Amino acid sequence: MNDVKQQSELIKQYLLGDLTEERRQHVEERLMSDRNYRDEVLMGESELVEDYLTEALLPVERRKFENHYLSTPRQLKKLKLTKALLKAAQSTRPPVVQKRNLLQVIAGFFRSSSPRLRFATVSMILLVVLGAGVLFYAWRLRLEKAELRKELAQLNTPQNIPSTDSSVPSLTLLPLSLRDQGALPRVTVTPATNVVQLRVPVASNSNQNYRVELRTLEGDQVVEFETKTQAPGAPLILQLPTRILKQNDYVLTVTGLSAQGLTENLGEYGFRVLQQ
Amino acid sequence: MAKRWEENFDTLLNWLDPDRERAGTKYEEIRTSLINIFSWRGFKDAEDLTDETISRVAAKTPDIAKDYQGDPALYFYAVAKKMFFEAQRRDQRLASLPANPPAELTYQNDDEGPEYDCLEQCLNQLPPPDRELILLYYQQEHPKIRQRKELAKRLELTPNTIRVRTHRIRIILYACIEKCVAGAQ
Repeated sequence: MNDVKQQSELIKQYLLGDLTEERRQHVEERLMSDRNYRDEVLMGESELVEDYLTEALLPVERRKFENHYLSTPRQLKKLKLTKALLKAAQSTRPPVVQKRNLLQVIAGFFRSSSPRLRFATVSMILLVVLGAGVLFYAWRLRLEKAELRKELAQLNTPQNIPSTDSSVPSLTLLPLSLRDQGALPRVTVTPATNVVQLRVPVASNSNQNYRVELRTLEGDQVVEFETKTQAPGAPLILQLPTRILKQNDYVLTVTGLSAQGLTENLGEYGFRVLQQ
Repeated sequence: MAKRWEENFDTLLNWLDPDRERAGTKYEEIRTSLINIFSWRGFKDAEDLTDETISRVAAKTPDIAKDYQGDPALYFYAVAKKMFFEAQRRDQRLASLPANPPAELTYQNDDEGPEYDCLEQCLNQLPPPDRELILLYYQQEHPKIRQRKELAKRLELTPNTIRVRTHRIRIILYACIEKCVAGAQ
């Protein structure tokens, strides 16, 4: 590789008129009798011209090129042809596509489009974003409700309802129609409380399956789920996770579900949750 | 005199090679090399000097052909060396004439001309792979070495093969352009 480099450098010096007479004659004798070496000199010449046109020569080399190499019509013609070839090659080069980030692309669009188009585009984008937001919110809500129903189903499996457990706050509900103003049964929850137990004194005792709906007193639904007792007529005990119970007044609506698919309204029961 | 010159030239060709076709090829190679050498040495009338060199060799061929040992091309060069010194003395005598304009001025405003038109024509005459190669080769991205290595990788050739092929294509292209320009003139 070193020899190749040295040879290239020698040829370059020869073409720039930078060799002694003795060395110059040595190069010329060789290219007269050695076809391969002649080709090397000619290729070296082409590369020198290309380097000159692409400003790849050192300043001192550039001066020698202009003062010595370009002193004859043949070399001038070679320069002209190489320049033409470079120009032709550049004109066939595929355009360089500059990578732009998304912001630049958007900025470019807005700079180049009409005000009407810009307004329409922005409006459409806002609508899309709003719609997406609404859909996402609805989806999240459905997801949360589904998870809650699953949790409630697990909590209210008869096997998971302890008959007596002093660690779980428990409350016996009263039908709402019998409620005295301000005298709703109360249950206090603390940060350590995870579950509250509600005992619902349903009148009818023929049902085993129930639908339960919990709302705030203002009417906002908190949860709706179905549950079953261990046996028809067994006490209806509900367990609710405290995380869905803020300090508020609630109404529990209980509906009995018969095996034949009939429903029976079993009343509304109110209670108050206090947070400690 | 003309007849004598023809005979001498005939002898010269025989001296280069008994086969006339090979002799013709060698003769052209020698002539082109001499033109290049004279031109690279800065002689503006390189072709004339070459023709003079060949004439002198041709005149001497009947005397030297039988006993000459070695490559005849080197004999041509030896005669050319004498031409160097003669031409240098001649140029020194002509040194009082106004200097040539700087080369830069001579070519800088020369972006047009038949060469440009002929180039396009000659490029189109190249076989498509050769055309593509030469144009890709001259799409000078920097650094040049890296670009040529990438080109070699893309074409599954070595960088030196690319260099040599491009050189061959360039010779054909420039010969075509010369012919086209001569035709246009």
